[in-house]
Amino acid sequence: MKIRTTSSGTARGRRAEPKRLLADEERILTKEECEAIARRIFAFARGGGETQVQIGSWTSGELRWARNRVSLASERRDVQIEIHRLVPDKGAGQASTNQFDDESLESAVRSAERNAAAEHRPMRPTPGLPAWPIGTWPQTAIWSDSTYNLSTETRGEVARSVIEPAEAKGYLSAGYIEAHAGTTMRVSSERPAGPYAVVDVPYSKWTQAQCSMTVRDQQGSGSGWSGLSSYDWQSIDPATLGARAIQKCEASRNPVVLEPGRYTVILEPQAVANLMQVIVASMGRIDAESGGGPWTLAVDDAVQIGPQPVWRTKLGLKVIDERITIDHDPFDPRLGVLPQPWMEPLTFFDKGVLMNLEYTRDYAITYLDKNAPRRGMWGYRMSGGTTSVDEMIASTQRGLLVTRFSDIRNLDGGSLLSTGLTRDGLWLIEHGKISKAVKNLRFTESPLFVLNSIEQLGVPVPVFRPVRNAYEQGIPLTPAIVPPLKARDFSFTSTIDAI
Amino acid sequence: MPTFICQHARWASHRVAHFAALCVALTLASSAAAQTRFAWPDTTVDISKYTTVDLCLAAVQRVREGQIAFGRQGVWRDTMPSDPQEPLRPLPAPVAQAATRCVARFDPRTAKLTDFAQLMQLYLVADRDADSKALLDRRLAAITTKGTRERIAVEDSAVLIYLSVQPRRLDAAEQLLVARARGGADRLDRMALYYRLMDAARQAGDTSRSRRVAKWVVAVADSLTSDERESDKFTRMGSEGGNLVVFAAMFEIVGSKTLTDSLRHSTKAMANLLRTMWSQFTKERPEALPFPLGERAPTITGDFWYPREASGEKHPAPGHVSIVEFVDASRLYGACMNDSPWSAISDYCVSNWYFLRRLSNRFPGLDITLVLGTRGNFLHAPPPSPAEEAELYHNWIDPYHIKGTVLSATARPFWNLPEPDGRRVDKPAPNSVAYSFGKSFSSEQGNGLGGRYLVDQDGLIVDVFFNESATFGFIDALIQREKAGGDRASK
Repeated sequence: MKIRTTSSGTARGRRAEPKRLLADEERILTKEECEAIARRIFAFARGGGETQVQIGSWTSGELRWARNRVSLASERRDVQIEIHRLVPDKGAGQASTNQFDDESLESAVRSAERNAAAEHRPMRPTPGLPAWPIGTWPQTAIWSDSTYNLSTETRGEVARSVIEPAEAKGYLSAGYIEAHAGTTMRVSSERPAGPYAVVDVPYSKWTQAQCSMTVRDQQGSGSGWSGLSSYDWQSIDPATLGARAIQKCEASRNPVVLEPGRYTVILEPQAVANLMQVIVASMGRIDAESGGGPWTLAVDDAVQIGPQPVWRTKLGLKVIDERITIDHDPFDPRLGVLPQPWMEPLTFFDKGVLMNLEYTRDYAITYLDKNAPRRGMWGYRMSGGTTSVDEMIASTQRGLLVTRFSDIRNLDGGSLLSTGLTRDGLWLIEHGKISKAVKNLRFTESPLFVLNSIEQLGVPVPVFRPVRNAYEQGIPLTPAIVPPLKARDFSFTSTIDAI
Repeated sequence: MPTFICQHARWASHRVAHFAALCVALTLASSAAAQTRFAWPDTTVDISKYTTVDLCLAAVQRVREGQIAFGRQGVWRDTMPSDPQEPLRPLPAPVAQAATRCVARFDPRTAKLTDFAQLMQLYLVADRDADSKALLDRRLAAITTKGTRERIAVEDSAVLIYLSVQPRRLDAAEQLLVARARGGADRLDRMALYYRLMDAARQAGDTSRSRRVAKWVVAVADSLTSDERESDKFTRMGSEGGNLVVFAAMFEIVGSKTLTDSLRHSTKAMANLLRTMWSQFTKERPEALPFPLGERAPTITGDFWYPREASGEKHPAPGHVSIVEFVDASRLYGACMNDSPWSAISDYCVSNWYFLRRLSNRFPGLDITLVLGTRGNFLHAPPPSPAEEAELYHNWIDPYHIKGTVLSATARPFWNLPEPDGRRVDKPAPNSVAYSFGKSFSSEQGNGLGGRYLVDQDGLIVDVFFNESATFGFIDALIQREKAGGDRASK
């Protein structure tokens, strides 16, 4: 890593030029560089106490197009250094910088210390408390050189290759390609060289790529969408995605209005993942044991924890179709999980039986005599079957084929009744064949009902589930591997005008 | 050349010369202006220009927070007892000045009535009590004769403001509450209103008022019929029911001084006094007093003792004034401490240790027994065995240097709900069973700080409330009594 710095001889009173500049050939920080920055920050601290440092670096290349013309092509990168100072008899303060020359780092440390003093809340160590447990991190590799090395030129070529076929047919296409890579590390001056405690984050790096596009006809009567996200650009085939979007656009032109009601539906994997998001957000164990959410069973008056009676949950009960198993494996890079010391392979639903719910470290310690939180259903794999979508269509007398859903909102936390819209391709199936395109519909349905009304399941595949800058913001990714499925009696409640 | 042309040429040349001179002057002036040093604009906030009540209230709040922060720089009171007279003292002058300046533009005769609650607070902070009253009267006058609920709501808001603003306006609150109580409220409502006033006066340190109002509470309670005593309204009164409201009022009337005098004679005398008064005013049996005052304190048992030699001793120690404190660790993580070992949020938990330290410093012979039933966890430590957990608690409490303290830890029996639920269900520890009296008094309420008992030299429970000044008086009385020959009732 080359760091270009300016001389410190700037005139007093003049603002110095930014001095943190990464050399062009390197876009993210290495482990050694992060450790060196942390050591320098620790050395700048004055007044004792503890210093915690979080260092992140990222690079992102993106390309956006609309109406068959590229509207944005960018290559960005940044470094984020967050410094927390816990100063005895002063307080706790924080400061951030993205420059890592000595002058800037020292200035940021002083700033954190000034903020600590300004807090007016003297701190002192609470004596006699145990040290943080030391963590062991699973070895995951959500890193792909092909994603990291995806150049601006390549992204342009990819865009051209999917725009040209659409334009040749007189359609309008819009889309987005992104390749993202980053690193993160969080260490404390109490444990500068490890072994790291469970609250630290050893250096880790990751990549994420996505490609998605919409193709519409000039009249605005048909719309096709396709997209995929993955840590590995190699696993995304833009040409196939482009062809699929065009094919869906053509097939969805001139839709007819269909009476809302209960229909057998064939949900493509993307639609399944959209619907499953409602379940993903409901998996909190504390909610279930407080009488909220879909996984609460009933109050058990015979048992008390403290002064309160116990809410029994549906853990251990069969709650969805027994053909469904949903699990999470931190070692599967397709699920995009940054390593955490408490992670382990986890089954949420085992053959339809609810097996695990999410909880915090606080909960684990207090109620389960464990010292590790349990991950929620962020990044999951859903089991499937062997039936292809074509076979599902062929076996359907009357039903609807759904490409995807959008704007899903939960209406009732207990039943997970939700509402949302079909988008980018909805077709009527009659007598085993797609008969016509249908105008989009609003559904009002619970995903739990769908998972209990399954007729057929297909082969699980990764779908489009990107979360931008997830690691910098601390939001877990929600990649999903889900099958297409056919379910009966899915409730559509109104027609909508959007295509 | 014609004259006209020559004159015109002279005139034109003069104009050009003038124009050129003007340009030079402007250029010089503008370059001079460009070299004027930048002066930071006046950013002083003139809160008298604020146009809405909300802005004023926010401004006053900011000044108040600033004053609090400024005060903290000099003194951090975390180890000191709270000052009961604090709510009766005026706010720092800058806060009142800010309110005065900002509220000057609002006339109580014309201000919007929708702003009444906020404006009332501002008037009170600005010491404009008459305007506050005028605004409240306007607000009440705007209520129609049928708007009983609205009237009660407005009066409640006003009472809340009177009882929360600093310094408290207990007179004004009393005036409103008494007017309502005497204006047709039924006996139970009157009792609840009087209790509210008594409690506010007690919390504000106005003991003469709280005692006077307590007499009203007791008088109303004395007139209740048996139906009224069994009504829902009575059993739900206060936080613990009507009988305890009466008991609190009775306690207020008797005062800790009378109880201390009684205690100087004997613990049984004090307990009998309370039981008799309880029975007289609540119409309950004397034995139904829901506090174990005068009961014998059981000997504490333990699996692990710190210091270890304490395992061979009896606690509470015979011949010593003792405190038995149940350490409720059920919510140690989260409620009491955060993840940081530098936590300053732990005041809530450690205030107990500071209180005990003050007691042990003042009364060196005090025997303090901390009682712990293990829970299977201690902060973020790996799940400890009972012995490890006891050790962790000892390590945590020991640095607070509470003299004369022993820690008894008992491995609490528990079971787990069947997997995949697996939740731990604790059973009561033997010591907590021994220190639970009847159905109403449990040593481990499970919602905070656990139970605390003051025990006399003969092993009788003297106090379970631990109002700091009263407790100091009780302990003093017990020590003096011992010097004077001990409990007269036991002789």
